[in-house]
Amino acid sequence: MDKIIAIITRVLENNNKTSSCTIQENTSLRNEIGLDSLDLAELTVIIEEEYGVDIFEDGFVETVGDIMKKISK
Amino acid sequence: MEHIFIVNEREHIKKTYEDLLKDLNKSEFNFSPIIRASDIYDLYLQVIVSILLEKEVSFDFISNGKESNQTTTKIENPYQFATIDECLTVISESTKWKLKLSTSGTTGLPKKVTHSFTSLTRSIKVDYKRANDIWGLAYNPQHMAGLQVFFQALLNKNTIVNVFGLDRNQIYSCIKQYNITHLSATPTFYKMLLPANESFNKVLQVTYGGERFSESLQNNMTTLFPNAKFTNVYASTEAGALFAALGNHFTISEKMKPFVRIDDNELMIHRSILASADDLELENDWYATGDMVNLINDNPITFNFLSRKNEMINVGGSKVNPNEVEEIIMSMTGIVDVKVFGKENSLMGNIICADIVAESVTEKEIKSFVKDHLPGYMVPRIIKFVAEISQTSTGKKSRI
Repeated sequence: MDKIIAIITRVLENNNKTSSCTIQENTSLRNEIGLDSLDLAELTVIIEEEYGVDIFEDGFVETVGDIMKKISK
Repeated sequence: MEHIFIVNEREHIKKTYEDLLKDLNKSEFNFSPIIRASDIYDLYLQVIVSILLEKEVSFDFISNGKESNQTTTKIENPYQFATIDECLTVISESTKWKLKLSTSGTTGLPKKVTHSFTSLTRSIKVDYKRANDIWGLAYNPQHMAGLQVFFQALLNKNTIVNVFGLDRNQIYSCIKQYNITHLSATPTFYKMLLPANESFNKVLQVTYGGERFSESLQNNMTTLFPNAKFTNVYASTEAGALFAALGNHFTISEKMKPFVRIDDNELMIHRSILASADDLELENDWYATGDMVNLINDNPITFNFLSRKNEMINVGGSKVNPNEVEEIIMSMTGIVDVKVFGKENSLMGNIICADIVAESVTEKEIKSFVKDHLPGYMVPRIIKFVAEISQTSTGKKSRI
């Protein structure tokens, strides 16, 4: 989970965004962290490079926990 | 019962046609030739006002909310409308109004194309059967596709529910709460709605365009919208919405036949139905769209789309010219060489990547520099610093 948070922080940082919320498993990527579609696409690529899993391949990912589920499969 | 014109849940905006009528009957308008709106209602109100005043306007795309020189003038309202229908009649008779939109050019900066009311609303259908349509607006409201939804809804006095930029749960609840009957969006948007673990019976029409609909997406969509008719629309910023297809096969109607031709598998469109733009390259009055098609039948002309002729990268329905992004990056101090290319992405169709040869420039600096000069979807999201840029045998940058 720490690694995923680090990746999310990196995406935010790279795109000059800040998020004031504490990232937990049920934190919403869009609503709470404030990632838009392009940020999520960037996140997908980085996670795929790290874990070899395309998290958006078969539908939706809403929360940090959803990412955890996809990469632990 | 209140007759809703536009709803935006996230910005807590709900405006009725009565509100609109009131705003259009103000004694004077603050008019600016560059539209910068505070919210979606304000945006479309300014568009309507410019039509009523028969003024040329454009959208402020690039400034990203930063201050730019803006001149606002007060103009007396020549009208007093008793009903919204009176206002719509005036709008429909507009001849001098112009709207400038930006496209991605094949070289250099985005080119501007100028649309008239006629060219923007060519494919819009107005009739009493459409009076109860409720539109989900899933496109950027300032882009061609968003404007098509706006005019279609406005001229039929329909409700527009803005679902652009919402997440899956919010979109689901909007479809239910407002009984949306019509959706027009990119395949990327529809993909966001998966998995299809609910069915929306009230949605009667689902329109898509900009990218191909895969078979698996089509199957999921049928579960999600069991009563909907699915239509694929071919539209471009240059020409507006041109033709529609059921599934992936497009058939050219008798009406459109004189304006469409296929040359060496490339779709050509006659200049008479294009927006006016001085910098569009024409060959004997025909515009080469760069869209490669596969001809299935001669009479009537039936085809499906294969690919783009040039190197345009489709990011969630918006086309990005890699040369344009490269030019901007190269203009930065410390950049030695750059290659911009698309990488397939399950969420956006493609995502912009850049390999860069540079001296002491950070990823963050490059991203914010590009963002200052180009729209957000053109900013490279994946940047790799490399020692040199690989080239193809012809000496061109390899974009794979």
